[in-house]
Amino acid sequence: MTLTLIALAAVRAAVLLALVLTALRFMGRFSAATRRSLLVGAFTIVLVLPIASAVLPALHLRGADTQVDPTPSVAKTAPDPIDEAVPMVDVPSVDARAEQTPHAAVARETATSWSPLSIALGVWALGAVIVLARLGIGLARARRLVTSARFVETLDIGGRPVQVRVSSTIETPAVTGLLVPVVLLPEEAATWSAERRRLVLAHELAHVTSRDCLANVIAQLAVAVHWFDPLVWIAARRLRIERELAADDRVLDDGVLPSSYAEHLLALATNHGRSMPQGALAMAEPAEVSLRVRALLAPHTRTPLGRNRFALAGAGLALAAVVACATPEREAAPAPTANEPAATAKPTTPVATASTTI
Amino acid sequence: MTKPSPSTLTRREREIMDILYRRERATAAEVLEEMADPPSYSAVRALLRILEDEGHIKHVQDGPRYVYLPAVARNDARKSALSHVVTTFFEGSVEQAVATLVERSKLSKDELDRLAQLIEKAKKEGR
Repeated sequence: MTLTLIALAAVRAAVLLALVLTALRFMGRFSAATRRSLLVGAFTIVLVLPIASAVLPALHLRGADTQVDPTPSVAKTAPDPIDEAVPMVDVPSVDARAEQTPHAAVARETATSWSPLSIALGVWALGAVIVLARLGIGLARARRLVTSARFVETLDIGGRPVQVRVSSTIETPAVTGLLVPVVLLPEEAATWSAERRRLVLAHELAHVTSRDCLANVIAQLAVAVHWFDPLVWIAARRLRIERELAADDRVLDDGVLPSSYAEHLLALATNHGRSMPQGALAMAEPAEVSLRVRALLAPHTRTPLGRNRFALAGAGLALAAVVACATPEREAAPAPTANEPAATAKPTTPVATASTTI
Repeated sequence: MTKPSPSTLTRREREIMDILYRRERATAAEVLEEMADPPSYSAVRALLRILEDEGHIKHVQDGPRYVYLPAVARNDARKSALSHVVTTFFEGSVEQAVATLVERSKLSKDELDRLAQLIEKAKKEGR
C-alpha cells in the first residue's frame, strides 16, 4: 500500500539518523571535522533518498527489463505498481508482482480526496512548507544584512573571493552567503586587537572553506522533508555544534595557542567576563561557549586534515545506509535481490535503495 | 531573581527602558534611533549590556543581531501566543542562513571561574 511505502521511506531515514547519532556517541576521539562530515553525508542521503525514489519509478516505467541503474533489483519489480507520483515512494523494494491488483485498486481508491493518505500528505506538505519558508526568509534576511553592511575588502581564499563587511546592526561576527561568502563583523571589530581580529577571521574563514553555509542548507532541506522525525532536528542541532568545533580546530591549525583563542572566545561570548547576577538559576544545558572552551583546552586526538576523514565518514555512512535501506522480504519465496556492492562501492551515491533479504 | 528597582537607573538607562517598554522589543540600532540626544552606538550597546547584567532586560538572538526586551514585560497579556510564535519563527530564520562566531551566553559565576581556571592551567602548561 502506498502509505506503507511512504512510511518505509520515512523509517529508513529515521534509522539512518539514529545510527549516525549513536555512532557519534562513540566518536569522541575523532575530530569534529570527521563528525561533521558524517552528519553532512547523512543529511545528504536522507534528503536525496526520497527524491531518488520518486525518479526511479519514472525510469522504471519505460522498460521493465532495461537496467538504467546499477541496482539489478530495480528491474525485478513489476512495471506499474504505483499510479500517483508520490515523493517518498521507494519502489524497488516491493515485490509488486503479488501486489499488482491490490495496488491498482488502492490507486483508484486514493484518487478520491480526504483519504487518510491525502490528509497525511497535506499535513506533511504544510510542515515542509513552513520549514522551507523559514529557510527562505532566513536567506533573504541574511542577504539584507549583507547589502546594508559597509564593504571593507575582498580576500582571496583558495581562489574564492570572500568579502569582509562591517555591519552596524550585528553584535557578533558571522559568515553567510552560498555563492559569494561574506564575513560580517560588528562595529566593535575596530576596537579589537590585531590578534583577536585575526582569530575571528580565521574562524569565519574556516566556515567558508568547509562550506558550512551550504551544509546547513542541505540539513535544513532534509529537515523540511523529514520534519516529523525528531531525530532530524536533533541531528541538525548537532551539526551546528560540530561545525563550530571544527572551525575552532581550524583556527588552532594556524598556530595559535588554544588558551589564547579560548580566552578571546570567552571574552566575546560573555561580554568580558561578566557573570550572571547572584542567585540566578544555572542554565539548563551547558552553554555553547562552555562546550567549546573545554574542547579547545582538553587534550584530544585530532585527525589531520585530509582525505582520512572523508574516507572514514564515507565508509561509515555507506554501512549505515545499507542497514537503513534493508527491507524485510514480504514473500516466503526468497528473491535474490541482494545488492550490497553497488551501495558500498559509492559511499556518497544517494541511490541506496538496495534490498537485502532478512 | 529580585525585581530590579527602577530608581537605581541613570537618566539614559531609564530612557532606554522606556523605549523598550514602548516597543516591547528592539535591537541596539532601533533603540538608538528613538533616543533624544543619542550617545554613540557603542555607548548604547554598552548601556544595554549593563542593563542586561543587572537583570532589567534580556535578549534573544536573531542570528548575529541581538533583540532586547524588558525582563519583566509591563503588559504580558498583550502579546498573543500566535504573535509570539510568529516572532520566534522569524528570529530563528536568520540562524539558518548565517553562522555566528559564538552565542553570547550568561554563564554562572561558578562556570566562569571554572573556565578561567582551565585557561590558566593551560597557559601554565604552554598549551
